[in-house]
This record gives sequence, structure tokens and C-alpha cells, in this order.
Amino acid sequence: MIYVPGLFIALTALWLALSGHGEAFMLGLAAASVCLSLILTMRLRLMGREASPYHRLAPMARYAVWLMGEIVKSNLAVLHTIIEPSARLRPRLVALDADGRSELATALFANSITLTPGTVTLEAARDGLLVHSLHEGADEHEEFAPMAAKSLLAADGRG
Amino acid sequence: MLEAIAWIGSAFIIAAVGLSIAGAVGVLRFPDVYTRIHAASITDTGAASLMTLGMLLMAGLSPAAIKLCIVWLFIMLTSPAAAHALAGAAFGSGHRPILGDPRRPSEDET
Repeated sequence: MIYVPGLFIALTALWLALSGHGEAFMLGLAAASVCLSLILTMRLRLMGREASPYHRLAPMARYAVWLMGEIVKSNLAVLHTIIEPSARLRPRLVALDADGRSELATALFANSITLTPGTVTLEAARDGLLVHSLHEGADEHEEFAPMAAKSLLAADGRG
Repeated sequence: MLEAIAWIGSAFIIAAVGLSIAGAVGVLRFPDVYTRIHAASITDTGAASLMTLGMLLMAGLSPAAIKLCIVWLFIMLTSPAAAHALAGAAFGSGHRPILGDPRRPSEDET
């Protein structure tokens, strides 16, 4: 089980960062709680490649940075719609194909859409997403294509 | 120097307050529940991020900074789940969104 030491290190680092205590008694409590968490995780059979996608950390981090940029851009777009009296709303529904994504990639894509102001996922299913969008795009599928491709690359490792 | 960074942090927090107010104005101005979710997500993402950034600058290098990062991460993970639950519940219970230009509702309703 290669994932046990990884989770042990992560839990210990989280405990140290959150508490900041160094006394022996506190460290003993920390060791006990970390061990209990490890045992419970193993008993629930949550340990594994899917629950700890270390191999996807670097692409996920790159995707997160790109997504932050998108969030800033769409924040400004929705802000403009709110404070500009003449701005027009043209809400619409867009159906997007799943394109044979894994569940992780679908979840990442659907959550990225919802996190970006101006678009929210109404329904996420295996065969596709239904998205509500605040603004009229030039081409509705073109608009979501970069996020679809990048989230697929980050979660599934293919483009 | 530290003083100046704390002032920049305060500026971020004031900007975040502005974004929160804009989000609230949008919630009042927009016509239906789905468009209002878009307005509220400005508060969820933009205002929350600016607020955390401002507090990070004011906290400096300290354990509080790590906690702020973790708080920000949780907001970013949970707010889309909440927004999706709200939108999905509205859609699932048969509430249909206004489509097209709300000021001319009869034009391209589908």
C-alpha cells in the first residue's frame, strides 16, 4: 500500500499547520488521531489510486492556475452586467456532450463551470451537462471548448 | 514595509466589500433564480478570494496564513456544490429559466 505513507505525511502536515503546538502530550494526541484516521480510511476502503490521484497533481495545479484567470475574467463580465444599466441579459441553456469523460473529468468540468460566474451547471449526468449561461456567446459550444479540453487533460491526462 | 503590506491588504478587503455589494445588487436586479445565482457567485468567488488575499497580506508569514489558504480552498470546493444544488433543485422541481432578453420575454422562448 503505497498510499498509506502518503496519507500519513499529508495528515501529519495538516495537523501541524492547523495546531502549531509542540508539547509531547499534544503530539501524542496528534499521533493517535492520525492513526485513527488512517485505520478508518482503510476500513472504509477509501485508499487507492482514485482517492489519492498524486499522478494528476501537476496537471491539476496547472489547470487551477488557468481556472483562476477565467474566474477573474468572468467576475469582471458579470460585474459589468450588474453595474451597467444598459447591459443586456440574454440567459440561455446550453447542452454539452460528455465526450466519453471519466466521472472525475465530468465532475471537474461541471464544478469549473459552476465556479465561474455567469455559468452554472443545472444537471450533470454521464451523457452530458446542462448549463445555464447569463450571456449570449458567439458560438455556444466554442465558448466552453477551452474549459472542456483543459479539464479533460487535467483529470484524464488526454486532450 | 510591513505597514505598507498591511495597507495593501486593507485595500484588497475594501475591494472585496465592493464586490460583495455588487453581488447583492445583482441578486436584487436580476430577474429569476438562475440569473441571481450568477450574481451571487461574484460574492462566492471574487469577493471571497480578494478578502482572503487581503487577510493573507495582513497576516504575513504565520500559521494563520496556512489556515487562510485552507479556508480559501474549502470555499472554492464547496461554493460550486452549493450553487449546483440550488440550481439543480430549482430546475428539478420544474422552475423554468427565463431565456433570451427578459425585457422581451415572448420573443425567443423555447
